[in-house]
Amino acid sequence: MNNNRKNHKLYIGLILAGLIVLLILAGLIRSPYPPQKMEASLKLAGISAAHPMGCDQFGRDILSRVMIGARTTFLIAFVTNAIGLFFGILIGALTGYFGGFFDEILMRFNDVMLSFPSILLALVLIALMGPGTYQVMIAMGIVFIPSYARIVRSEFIRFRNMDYVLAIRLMGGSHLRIMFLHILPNVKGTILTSLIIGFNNAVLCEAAMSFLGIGVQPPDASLGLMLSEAQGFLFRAPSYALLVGFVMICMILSFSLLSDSLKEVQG
Amino acid sequence: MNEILSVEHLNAYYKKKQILYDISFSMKEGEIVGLVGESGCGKSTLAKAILHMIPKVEGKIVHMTQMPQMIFQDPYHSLNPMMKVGRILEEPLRIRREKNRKEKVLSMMERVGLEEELIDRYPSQLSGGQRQRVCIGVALMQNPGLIIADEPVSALDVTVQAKVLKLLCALNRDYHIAILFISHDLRVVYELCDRIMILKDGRIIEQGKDDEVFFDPKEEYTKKLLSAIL
Repeated sequence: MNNNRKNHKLYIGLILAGLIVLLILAGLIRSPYPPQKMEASLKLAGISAAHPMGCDQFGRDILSRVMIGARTTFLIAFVTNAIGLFFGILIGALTGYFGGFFDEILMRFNDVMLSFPSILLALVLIALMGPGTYQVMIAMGIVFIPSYARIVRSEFIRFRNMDYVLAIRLMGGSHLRIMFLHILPNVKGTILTSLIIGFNNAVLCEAAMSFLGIGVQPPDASLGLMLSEAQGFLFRAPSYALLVGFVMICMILSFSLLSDSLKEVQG
Repeated sequence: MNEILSVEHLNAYYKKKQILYDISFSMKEGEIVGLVGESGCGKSTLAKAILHMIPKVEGKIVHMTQMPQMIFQDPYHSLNPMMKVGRILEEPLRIRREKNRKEKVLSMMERVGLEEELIDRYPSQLSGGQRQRVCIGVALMQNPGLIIADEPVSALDVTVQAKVLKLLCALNRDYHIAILFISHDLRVVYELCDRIMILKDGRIIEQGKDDEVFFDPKEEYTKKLLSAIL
């Protein structure tokens, strides 16, 4: 019974993630129309055989733009988490393993970072760097570091006093060897589940920032940016907002379902 | 016989609290010494202090050979859960960058009585006794002159306990390895050890030959410990 439910979650998650990946891959190879091509006669055109998702306010094919936009969103989420994870592991491992004064300082700083809403902090960084796709990646990456650092740190604290770590100290194993060969592999499950949650947060964060006009800049496409554009035509072309929102929901849902089933397998 | 370890006037602290008071003793090559005391009396702290694993220690600790190795009480936490048995046994060799590691691992597994097919198992797939054998194997890989065994059999079944103790005895006999055997079980200590030290509240209150301590205890506390098991 329980096993069945877990499998459902896993399968639905995999199917949704597969669809999104397929959409992104198809967009990489060739989108049905050039995503920037405007067609005045097709302004806010509805769903048709030629344009399965309709057209936006400039007569651009929405499906093509969703393909490009999903890729941009995916890329931003990926790079953001890569930055956050890399520095998060570095900081978390060092502070958790060694502890002491250095740990205190960094963790208090971490608390300060965490106490701000992440979007606000990203806003400040964007204000410093200016809007744009790469700036969003860097700003969000920095914002994501503290939460990863915190998770990795607590795991390292749990493991650093385990007997097997002491045994390796006695063999003359270096601190780096212990941290990255003997503790990190034991932490990777925890990191993986939080990575998926982080991925979702990044998708949402990108959407929010693009929505506010400080993220991806037109005419480039991202899911968040398209959603904010669609908002203006909510009554004249409801399918625009609904379809873009649907793709985003699929993206987020697939990853949370995968993370859930992953947690159940581990737990 | 030569001394292998000497401890003089050792005081150890943990979080500003003094745990060990003026501990002095020495061990000779190939000797098995039992360290007995109730839980919380500082046995494990003493073991860690000897291995320089406690930051706040006063006094003198002299190792005549290389670093002693330690066998831990809980065999479930003393092996890396993500590594296979073969890899765990190989780790000390890798750290020393030795060659022919595979052969050495196999011969070590035979020495501590582990079947060859266990080499690809994870610790979670082993019994408590097998795990403790792996731990002993890892310790032996360093060719130590002294092994500190902190309650090595307390977490095991009685039948398995006897086998592991036998293995420790054999290692002592065949390879002349000294063992500091920490336990709360006076009976096991009497069976195994040449000498016994009684630790109470961070002080060694009595030490001597096993027969002396067992049949002619000087201290009230030792008598109490003995009466508890007889």
